[in-house]
Amino acid sequence: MNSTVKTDQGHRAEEGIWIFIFADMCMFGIFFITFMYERLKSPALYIESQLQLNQALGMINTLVLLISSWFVVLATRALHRGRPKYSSLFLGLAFFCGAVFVVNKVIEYSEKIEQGISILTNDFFMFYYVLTGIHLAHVLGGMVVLFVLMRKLKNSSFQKTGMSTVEGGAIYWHMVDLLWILIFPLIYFLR
Amino acid sequence: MDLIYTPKSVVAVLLLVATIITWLVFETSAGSIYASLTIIAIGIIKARAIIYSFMDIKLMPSVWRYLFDGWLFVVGSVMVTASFVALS
Amino acid sequence: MINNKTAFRHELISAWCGPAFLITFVVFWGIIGQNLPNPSPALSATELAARYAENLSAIRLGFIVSLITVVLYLPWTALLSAQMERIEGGFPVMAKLQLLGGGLTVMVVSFSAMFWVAAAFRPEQSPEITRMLSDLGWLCIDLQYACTTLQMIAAALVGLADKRSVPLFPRWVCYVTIWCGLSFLPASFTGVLKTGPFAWDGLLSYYIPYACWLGWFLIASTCMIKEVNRRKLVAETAENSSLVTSHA
Repeated sequence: MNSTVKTDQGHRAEEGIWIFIFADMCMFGIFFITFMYERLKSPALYIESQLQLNQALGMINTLVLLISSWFVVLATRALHRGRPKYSSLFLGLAFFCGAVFVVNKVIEYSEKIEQGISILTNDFFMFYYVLTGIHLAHVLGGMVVLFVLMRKLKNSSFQKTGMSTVEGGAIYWHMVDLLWILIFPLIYFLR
Repeated sequence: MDLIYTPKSVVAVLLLVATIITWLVFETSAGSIYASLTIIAIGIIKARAIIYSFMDIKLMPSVWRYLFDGWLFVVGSVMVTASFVALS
Repeated sequence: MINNKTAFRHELISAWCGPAFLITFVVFWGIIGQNLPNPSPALSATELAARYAENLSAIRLGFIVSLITVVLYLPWTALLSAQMERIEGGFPVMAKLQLLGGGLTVMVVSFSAMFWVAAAFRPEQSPEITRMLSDLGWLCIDLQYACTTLQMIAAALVGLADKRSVPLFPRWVCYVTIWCGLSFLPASFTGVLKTGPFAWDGLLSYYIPYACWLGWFLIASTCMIKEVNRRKLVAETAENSSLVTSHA
């Protein structure tokens, strides 16, 4: 390899994506703050309900999303270094991780429903279903984004000019990961 | 595999490790205020690592760093405050 | 073909129907109609019927007028479609989608206001009936947001593809549009929850989504008015210079 290879600076995603990301995070921020405020009203109920959550599945999901974010980082790096096939491969692996997350969530929700716990059971579980549910919708959206990027990468002109689009999609996926990194301890761990 | 050897990969590994640590803290001392504060701190640090390392926020004008750091500060403070209030 | 001046007049009126819709919606649907704040789904039938009885004239006035003024959304939507068609060119699919989405939005908002007029029509009826009609109104408007989301996303996608030197929508507006369109998603929980921030009187299902919808609407109106004025100026300048050359 050429010793003057560029650093991981990459190309910037356009500013509009960041506006979208920040707005989305502000919405989740409001969710978090609302959750914490409501929790202070009936802490015993929240703690007792939290005990019924499947921490193991939550942990696995956290690790899975972190690994998927890592794959996305490697994908943008690969594209920047002119290796679009590897970029596609890493995006595919990230997509697969996303699928694992979704399957886990379905298992987790099914388990809860079988135990008779629904969104109406109490305030804690309302937040549980709503927060993780809206996050899940973001994961599904992110998987669509990853898929579209993988398809676009088959086009040789996009391979040269599409860096900023790929960066944009990558940043969205990192946000989805970041949100789960905060949602998970908030709901599953904090007493 | 030079594609993988990068500081960001180190960050990724550290994030995975931090996740395990969070879990261990939870398993050993859930409920104590120290556990809560540690878990919150680790969460905020992980989030910041993703923003600065994975999302490359430094490539953007500096106002974005203030916005996201501000967000982390607000969310983190509310979490810490809520933990203390819950103590009483 | 109608002449340029008439065409531009129609366009400008349509564009200004945007701010007009906004103001009449807030005044009649929001303030006079007693939707600020709106009634909680947790109210008992008797409490809700009492609310209607206490504010009967205001509720009737607010929503009957709303049913008329809500159609101001239509010329605005039609103008936006026309502007989008210029950008899309030969097969303006997104423009047509926006048109459909905007039209259906008017229907959704209209029907819900109509249910509330119906609820106020016979105040002596059983409170359960009043509550049922009120529920119909809220579920109608809060669960059927997807046509509005599609309208907004179609507009945003065309906005992003607009390659002119002065685009209809600056790029940040397009991304804000997409986000605002998606901010309605939590409102689906109004179909199930009766308390908390995701119920139809809550922060996350009511205030934020409606603020996002109206905020986007205002921003988009501003861009649209500017675009019509830009084109009008170009047309007038061209006309003036051709007058000059024909006299030379």
